Amino acid sequence: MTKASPSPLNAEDIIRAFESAQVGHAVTDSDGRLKYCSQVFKDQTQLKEARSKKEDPWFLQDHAPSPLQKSRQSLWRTFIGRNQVWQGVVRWHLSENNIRFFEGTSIPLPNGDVILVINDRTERIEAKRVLRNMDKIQQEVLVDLPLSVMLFTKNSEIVLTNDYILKHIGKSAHDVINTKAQDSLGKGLSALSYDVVKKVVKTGESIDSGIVNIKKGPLAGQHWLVFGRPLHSRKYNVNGVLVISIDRTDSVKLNEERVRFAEAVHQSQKIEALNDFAGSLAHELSNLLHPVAAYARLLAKTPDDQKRAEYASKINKGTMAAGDILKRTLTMARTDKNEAKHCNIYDITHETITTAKDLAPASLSYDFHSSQTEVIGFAQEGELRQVLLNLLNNAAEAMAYRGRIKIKIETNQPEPASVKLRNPQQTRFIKISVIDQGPGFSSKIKSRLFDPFFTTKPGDRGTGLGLPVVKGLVTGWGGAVSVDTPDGGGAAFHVWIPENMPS
Amino acid sequence: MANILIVDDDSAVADVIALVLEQADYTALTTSTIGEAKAHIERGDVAGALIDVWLQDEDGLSLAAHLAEKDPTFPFIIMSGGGPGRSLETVTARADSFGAHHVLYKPFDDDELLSAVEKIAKVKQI
Repeated sequence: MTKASPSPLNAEDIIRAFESAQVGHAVTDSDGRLKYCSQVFKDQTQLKEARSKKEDPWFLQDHAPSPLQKSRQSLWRTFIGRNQVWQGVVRWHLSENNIRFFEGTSIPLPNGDVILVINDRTERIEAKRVLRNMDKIQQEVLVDLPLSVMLFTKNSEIVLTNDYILKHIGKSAHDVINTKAQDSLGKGLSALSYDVVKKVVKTGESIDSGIVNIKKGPLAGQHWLVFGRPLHSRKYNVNGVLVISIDRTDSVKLNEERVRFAEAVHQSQKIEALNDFAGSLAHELSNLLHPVAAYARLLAKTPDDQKRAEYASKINKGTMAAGDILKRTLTMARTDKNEAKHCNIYDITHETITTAKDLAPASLSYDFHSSQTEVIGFAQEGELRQVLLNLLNNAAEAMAYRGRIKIKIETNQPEPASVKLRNPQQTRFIKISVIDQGPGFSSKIKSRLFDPFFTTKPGDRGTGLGLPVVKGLVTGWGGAVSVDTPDGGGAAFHVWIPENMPS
Repeated sequence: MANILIVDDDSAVADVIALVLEQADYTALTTSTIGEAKAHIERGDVAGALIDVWLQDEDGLSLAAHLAEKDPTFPFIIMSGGGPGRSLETVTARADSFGAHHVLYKPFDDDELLSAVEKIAKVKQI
């Protein structure tokens, strides 16, 4: 040790500086009785100079429990008795609950007296303790979380783990810490341990393996969500990997169940719709065919019947009506011979309206509006003409061929809110509206408009297949048909045509 | 011979059944609604009825249910040609449960019609 150079300060200056820095000091005899206390020492310890030789030493004069005071006494004897400097923390009980922490130094003097120096470090020490407690809480939380937490070295040695996954293989954290994952976890857990460590060490980046379906080992059949995160040293080398795995088996199973259920519902709805359709078709055809057969039998029995021409004509009428229904049914179950493609919806609509106008009486007028003359959509041209003619005819009939039919084309529409699309699509729609001034219809009728064989037209005028055919054609291109009854009366039919080919 | 009521909203069917019955010396009345049918039955105009299941906005089986409750001795035959969600089995089962004497599936032949009508025509005579 080199000798310190002589201080330019005198003792008074030094004492004043220590006091201002809140470092207190005192002088005791060799037994620890206080002979002198600085003001800061008095303030911090609430002690003062001893008044008699019988007074207790300073270290017995607080409210600390007696074992602590006894250990202070033996420390004092050990150090001071051997003439040694002591340095350490004094835990000073001002009262039972008011505890201060002093960094203390006691320096024996040649004359047997002792200098005490104390420095109040309570705030710093308590802050450190809070931090330590927080670390402990965090660890406890990690251990108790319903997920697996594992910390590995880059060589896939297990540094820290909770028991969450280990209980599946009948082990605890204690059994595997400081072992290599390959050795202690076995093959079945590779997807949640060293496979992840290897990948993270190789790339140096976090990985999210998504949901991993475990095929082998004690977790076979389970689904885990796995995250791996590198822990870097200062040099940016990976020196550890944190792997967090969450058991998602239940939610995956639930989801699979949901998909299966939706599929089953969809199938049963399809079967139900088919049943309804077959039932309706049978009803229509049997009502047509029954008279046909009955008149044929009459003719066979009495070929010379006076009414034979009438019977034959009834047979013809019933057979042709049945044929008409069959033809329309086939249109509904259309084949893909003419595929839909991009075409100018404006041109087709414009031409169809012109055709309708040519056939319509003068009492009927058509009001066509479109902001553009080039409107490209995905449809089948011939079918679109059929759809529009059908809607224009319905409108004309609803208005008893008198008044104004409004036709409107709008582009860049979102998918119709009221209609379920066959496949929800990522495209905008062209919306053609045909709006009539007829009587409109009740909500009961509205709900059945697209049912096969449902008709509001009297007698022989409708087969009840017009709108179902319209719907069948439009949905075939990935579009939709909807209907509403505007406040001002009448009815509005909307054809939604996808702007792009449905995926 | 007995007077038979035909309840069918399809007039082509009702007319030809009436014609076949008349040629076999029955008399026939036709109607397309349940209300009218009930009125004829309550007045005692008819000896029995042929009832179609799927009527416009009405269910012929509800007339059968009404008869089973109010007039269990009145004899009737159910006719069916199908309809949405109606299998032949369910129609037959329900018709049987209301005490129908016979179930005819359209198109049916004249002999089957006449032998079924013969059965219900006898009920009132006994």
